[in-house]
Amino acid sequence: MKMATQFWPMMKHEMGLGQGARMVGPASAIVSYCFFLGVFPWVSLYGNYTAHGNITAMFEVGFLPIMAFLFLGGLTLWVPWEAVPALSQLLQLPDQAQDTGRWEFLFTRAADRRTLFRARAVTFYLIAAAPLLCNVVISPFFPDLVASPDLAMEWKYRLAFPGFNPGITSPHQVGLPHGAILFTAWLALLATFVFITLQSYAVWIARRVKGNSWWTLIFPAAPLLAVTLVFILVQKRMIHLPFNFFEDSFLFFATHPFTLTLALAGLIFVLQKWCEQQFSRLEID
Amino acid sequence: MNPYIIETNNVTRSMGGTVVVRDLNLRVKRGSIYGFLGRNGAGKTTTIKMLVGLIWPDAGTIRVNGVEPSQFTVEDRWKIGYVSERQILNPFMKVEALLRFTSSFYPEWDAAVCERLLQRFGIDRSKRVRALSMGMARQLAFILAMGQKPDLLILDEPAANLDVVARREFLDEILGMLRERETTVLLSSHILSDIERVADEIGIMAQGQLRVSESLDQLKETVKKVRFYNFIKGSNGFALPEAFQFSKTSSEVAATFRVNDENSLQKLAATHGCQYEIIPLNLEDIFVEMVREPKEAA
Repeated sequence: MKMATQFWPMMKHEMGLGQGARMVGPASAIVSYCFFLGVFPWVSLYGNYTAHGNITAMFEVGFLPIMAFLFLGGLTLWVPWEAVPALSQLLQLPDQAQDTGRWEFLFTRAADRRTLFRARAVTFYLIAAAPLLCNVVISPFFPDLVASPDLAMEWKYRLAFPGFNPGITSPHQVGLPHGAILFTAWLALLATFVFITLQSYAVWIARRVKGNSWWTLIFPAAPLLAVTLVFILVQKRMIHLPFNFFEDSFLFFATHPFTLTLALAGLIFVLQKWCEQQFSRLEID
Repeated sequence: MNPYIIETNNVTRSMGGTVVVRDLNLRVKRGSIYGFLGRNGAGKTTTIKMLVGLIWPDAGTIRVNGVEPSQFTVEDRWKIGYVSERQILNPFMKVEALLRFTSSFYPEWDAAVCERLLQRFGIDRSKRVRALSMGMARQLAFILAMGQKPDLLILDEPAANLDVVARREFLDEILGMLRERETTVLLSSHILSDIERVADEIGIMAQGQLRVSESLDQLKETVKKVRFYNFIKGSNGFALPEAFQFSKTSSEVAATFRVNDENSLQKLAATHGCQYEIIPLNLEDIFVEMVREPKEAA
């Protein structure tokens, strides 16, 4: 029997197919999540009273940080749950025992742990990243984006969009060729980067989180706590970031879309392999 | 072929800063049914987890079917079945789906045995696992382990949650089948009468160490509880440093220890000027005598 043939049964299992009532709750949450994730870029770009397809205005509204925070929050719960065995012992959820048993059951079958971990990662891409990728596919059919950068930012827009078209709709606005494609691709790339980083972090901390030590819960929560802390400090003006994270990273991506996409693909390959290797050596106390 | 399917050499493992298993040297012969005994916290489950590759030893080496558990490949795992003490099957899957899912990991899945055992235990394939009683879920876990046709089956408290009748039927059925197949079984249980009925070899763990590992017959033959009485000059000088249990009054001594032949017992009684009687011990008595704290140092 080749290991590869184990992938599909594991995928099916990870997706919860054939598990009836178990998936009713998660499925409704996933559908809501996919819908929300799928429509939010369009709502924020075109449905927002301030933006009206103006990406600079959209960045100023501050909708993205809230969405990013919710996305990170969701991943902070999901990813460690799938990669840190001790978490199900620490969190006394109603099906805690089942979850601990699930780990033990899978880890003592003739199941390749690397394949199992890959199935978990693919499940993420299918569920969490699919709406974002769908957006990239349909983005050419959406209205053009415009921007209204101030003088300090204008050169960055010029660099990112060679076909930069000043005054397309008004003297203060500029048209962004392929802006919608780049915007949706940037969101998908950012989300994937966050996922693969968080997944690697979760695998890294998996041995450090102990089923009988509450304080070790700080490890899986650390990324969200760190982001929250930075967010609060920025809001309180206690620290000043020398750049606008979202707008600058979008423009950076728009300047080097293919290089960054290839770099991310390479990063995913390397980190996924590393994660699978680490996961295959995990202990279940 | 190595006569031992399980071999550990000076295995030590700590959990949370406490040494749970210390210098363990366990040997399990191929084809035997090995009863693995110990009080709660003696280190049985930790040992079993190391054998199936859920945790690794801090020191020492383990070989299961000739392979270090940390190096198990998928192929190595085909031949090692395991039913854990706390194993809870996915409650949301139907029995049928769980069988199909588990069988996808094994190229030589024995569907006929699974079918036979499902019928024998009256488990409905169309039911979800959560609709089964705890005992039935346990039986299903067994069926899943049997389906893979293991060379070695490790059972941690297999008969928990089963009533007396179900437990006996269950063990007779399963172990009978395993004997036919010459499968090695490592059986950990608190129900010593079950172990006594089925095991060939016995291992007793206490405080993380293997106190005894030998055949059940030999154990029952050599470990005796002996009462010495009618001392001519009193029992003051009587000592048995090797005894598992030893209690003494001015007129009587009771000791549990190994008696390799009765001549030595007669010599001992003659030396101290007393009479003796042997109190028969079953496995449970032997176990209790061996693992409880000594009443009085000899």
